[in-house]
Amino acid sequence: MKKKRLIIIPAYNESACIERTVRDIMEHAEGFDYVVINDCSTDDTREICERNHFNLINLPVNLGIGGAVQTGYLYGYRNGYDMAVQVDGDGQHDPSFLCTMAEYLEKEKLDMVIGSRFIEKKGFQSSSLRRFGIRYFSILIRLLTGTRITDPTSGLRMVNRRVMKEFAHNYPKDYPEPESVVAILCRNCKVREIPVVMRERMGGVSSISMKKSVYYMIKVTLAILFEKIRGGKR
Amino acid sequence: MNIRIQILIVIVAFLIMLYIINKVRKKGIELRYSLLWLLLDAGIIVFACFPQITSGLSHVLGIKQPTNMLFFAGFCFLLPISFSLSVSLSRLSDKAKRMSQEIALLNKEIERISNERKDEDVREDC
Repeated sequence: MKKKRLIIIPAYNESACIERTVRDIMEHAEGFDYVVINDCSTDDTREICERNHFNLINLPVNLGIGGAVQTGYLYGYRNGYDMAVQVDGDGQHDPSFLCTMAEYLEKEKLDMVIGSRFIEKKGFQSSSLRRFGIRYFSILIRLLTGTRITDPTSGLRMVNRRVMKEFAHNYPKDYPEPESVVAILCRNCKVREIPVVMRERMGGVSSISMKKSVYYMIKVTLAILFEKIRGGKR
Repeated sequence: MNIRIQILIVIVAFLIMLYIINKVRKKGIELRYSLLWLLLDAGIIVFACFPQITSGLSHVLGIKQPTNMLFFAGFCFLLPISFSLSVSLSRLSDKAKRMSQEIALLNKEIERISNERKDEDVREDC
């Protein structure tokens, strides 16, 4: 039987590029279904998706990125998908890597595949300050779990059904990426990275502004430590 | 303590007590959350009626000024209240999140079913 694969596209005020992102996915990601999670956008993201008859889920209130992506995992789990991948609505992620990721996940029997910008160091590399922050998390995760993750903040992540269930049950509310990787590493899941090329965002703004970055560093550091303390138990 | 201020405190505390009880009656606050506040209010009345307790207690604890002890006691009382509020807030926001996700998925399901119906109707018409 063919494996069912789902692309989760969280979108909050992405009217500038949601249409292009979804069309890109329809064209370049064969064998994948997709679902757009509209996180109660205040612009016309919803109207654009409805006009184009995209497969859309509308959240009744704004839940933030974590809650939106979790809705996608919940949808995927309940609809019997075998794999789910998160692709941001701002066009940073190139959908042509998705098939490679899915094959890698299946072949190596992994629980999660992360698309990393920093293995081949090609394409958009983010600002140097951000790279420094990412390196810091990478080292922290390596110290705590012994696994080398070069791009723990990458949103481009593909998971199997086991992790999908885990995430549907339990997923951080804000800045979820590094924390959730540690959470599943602590549950003895196999996580690997493959090199991808990311683009600069086509529109919209990063959820991590300069002002929030201090909060971000502290929150994510503590969250990773707490995940380690929990040690895979809930 | 001056008898006039004592009477004033007792009257105000009684009014507050009535206000809280009325709030509980009208279900403006759940009884379990009002208990701590009622307890605090009762404590204020007791301390206002019998200032000897305050001075006695502060003497036992080695605090020179009874007022200081009162401030400290009030502070210690309020901290756990606000912490328990943070706890219930976290629980509440988790529940609200799960509920809005369920609503979103339900809406999706309803839309799918009604679309299927429409398709069937169209086919029947043909």
